[in-house]
Amino acid sequence: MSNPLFRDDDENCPVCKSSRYLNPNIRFLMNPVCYHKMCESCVDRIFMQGPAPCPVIACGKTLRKNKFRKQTFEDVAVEREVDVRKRVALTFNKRADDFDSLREYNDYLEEVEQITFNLVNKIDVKETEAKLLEYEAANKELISTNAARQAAEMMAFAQATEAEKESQRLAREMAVREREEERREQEELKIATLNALASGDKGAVKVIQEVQLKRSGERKRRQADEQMKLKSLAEGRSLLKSSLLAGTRRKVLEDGPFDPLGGLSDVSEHYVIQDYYENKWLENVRNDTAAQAGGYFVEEYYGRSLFEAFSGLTFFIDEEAARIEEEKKATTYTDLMISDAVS
Amino acid sequence: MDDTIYSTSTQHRLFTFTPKQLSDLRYATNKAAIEKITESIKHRAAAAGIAEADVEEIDCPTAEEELKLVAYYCVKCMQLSDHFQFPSNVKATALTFLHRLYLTTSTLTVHPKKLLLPILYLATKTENHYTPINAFIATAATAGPKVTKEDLLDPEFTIAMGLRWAFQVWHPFRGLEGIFLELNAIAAGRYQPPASKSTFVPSASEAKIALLELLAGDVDRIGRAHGEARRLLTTTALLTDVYFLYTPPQISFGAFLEADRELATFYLDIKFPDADVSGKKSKTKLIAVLDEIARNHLSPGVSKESQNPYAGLLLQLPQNGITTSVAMAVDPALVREVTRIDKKLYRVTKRDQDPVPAGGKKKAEETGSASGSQSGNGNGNGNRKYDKDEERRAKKRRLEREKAEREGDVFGASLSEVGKSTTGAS
Repeated sequence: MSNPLFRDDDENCPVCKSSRYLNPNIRFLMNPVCYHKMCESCVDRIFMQGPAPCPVIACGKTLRKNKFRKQTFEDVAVEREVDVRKRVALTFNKRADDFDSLREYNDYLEEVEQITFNLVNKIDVKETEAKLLEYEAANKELISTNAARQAAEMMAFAQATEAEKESQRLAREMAVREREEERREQEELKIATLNALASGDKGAVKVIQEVQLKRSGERKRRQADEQMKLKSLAEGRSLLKSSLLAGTRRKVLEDGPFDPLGGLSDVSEHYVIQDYYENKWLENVRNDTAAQAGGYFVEEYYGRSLFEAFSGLTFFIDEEAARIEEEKKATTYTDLMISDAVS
Repeated sequence: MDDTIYSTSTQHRLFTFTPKQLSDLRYATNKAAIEKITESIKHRAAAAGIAEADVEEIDCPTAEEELKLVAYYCVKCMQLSDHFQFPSNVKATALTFLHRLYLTTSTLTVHPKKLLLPILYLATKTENHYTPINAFIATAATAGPKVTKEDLLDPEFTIAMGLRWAFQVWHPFRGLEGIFLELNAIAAGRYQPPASKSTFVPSASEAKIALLELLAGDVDRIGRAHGEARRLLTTTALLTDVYFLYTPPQISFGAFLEADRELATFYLDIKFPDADVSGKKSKTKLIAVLDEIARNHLSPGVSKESQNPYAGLLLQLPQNGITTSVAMAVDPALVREVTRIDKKLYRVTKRDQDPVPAGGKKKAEETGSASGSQSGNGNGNGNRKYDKDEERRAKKRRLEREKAEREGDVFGASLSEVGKSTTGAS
């Protein structure tokens, strides 16, 4: 409606019935308490004296003038949902790096969405509000730090953008200056050459040209240097910007150093590989320098043979199958969660 | 550590089953293939304008018959590999591939005969036994089959998919070498127990004395046991289901136990000392499993007549009429049986590939020649409905008679079936 291209002349104020056709400058406002729309003059008229009930029939909610604002979306439902989401996001402002695992973060997101959905669709509003307040009280400190952090990040981002713009402006100015300087030099050269020619000194012409060549080469080098400097400055800034945005606060687990193998050892419980095994089949290879030069070591053979002789020896397939069967029967974590959600 | 690494292998994750699971899988594969081919044949018949009731009965091989066929071709594959003089790891890998492939693929889908050479060639590659393809083709030609490069290479992708891209096979005969390395070390008095068991195990010299006492001067006994166990692992083990049912070290030890029980028990006692109470339970269980492998699968005593320990399950055992040795595969009765299955398979697959369904075509010809007055024009007697029905019934009776003769049941099919077919015809 606010878009002049799609202005609807029949649109009228539901309170005073004045329409856009009669009053082209009419502005509609609404209050995010009941989302009933009315024109600016009605708002002034009715709410000048302080809070008053909404004039729309069967509404009667108490409204205040300072809360009235322009409608952003044509659909009131969308407007309301955006407001609710804004409000919930103010309270639930945790981030992915506040959680130890992705699973926890996803659970949190789901809970937030549940609350938002309930508020938007007016399901169990009382309980949900209570939940929201409870969460707010419990996490007051974290909410405020996160809000501060967000504000700081926004500011840093704005500053970085500003600085980048500034550096671009400087680069542009410098380019203009350089061009000007070059033009001036060309002109000087022309005049000097003409003067030299007029005086009939051929050697002088040559000297002038050489000097000029040297100077222009120098200038070009200087330009390249300057540009390099500007470029690296810009790069540094963008790096700083991204690092500011990705400010990480992940908790470092304090359970000792990280073990990539998860406690798996490479020492067998069944055998120890010895340095030498008597085996007449292996004598040839042991003494064959060609094989050893090719990278074949008898020790590798010992290791592999023994490993294959014992890897899985005490692993019983029927027991494993029974275990898997058992696991299938047991209710999984997810199933429990679903039954919780349903009940 | 040992068992954990094994349990992450593809051999364990994809190709290890309990006997029941293995048998169920085979039945399921057979059932799915039959459903598919029946559907396809009926579809073709319908496309050719033959009513569903008129389609000749589709006689597909059962899961048992399929397994008999695959087992027979496994023996063929083994002989083929010997003809190429490939080392045992290539042979074993090729056979394992065949077994694994036909767990989830039916012979109705692809005949094993077509895959013997491609699988063997693939096995040379997976086992790093370089064989130039031209040399391979030349050697194959001396054994009979003429193949081209395309014949060898084209099915490779399909085979690889059937194997679920798991090319590495854990062969028990590699582990067997480890066992004998250690046994020889004991005999030389150089055995070192692992740290966790060192308190229970006799010292190296004590172990040596005990072993020499057991050998009683027969120094070659260890070598003989090794040879026998290796022979079992490169022949019988490859033609039974042990690769699917047990872990590779269990198979190695099972073969060792079968080759020389006393020596194997001695070695197991050193590895799992009785004094170590924590290992007691798994040792009892292990010995039971090893016994099972030796007695039910690897022992030469297992024959057609011996009692089937897996009654009702479809496993590769001689008791089920399935060959588990080269000697069994030349038995004329078995060859006859396999030829019968092969013919049956050929008939079914042929019907699925024929452009015009054989049943329908024959019927048309039959109808035409029988109604002589129409001078061979089978399509022209559509208005003479009575004659046609009569002929159809006669044809049905004749076919049934023939089928009964073929199957050797002089009394014909069961009453319920006869009733069904007559109602279907009328």
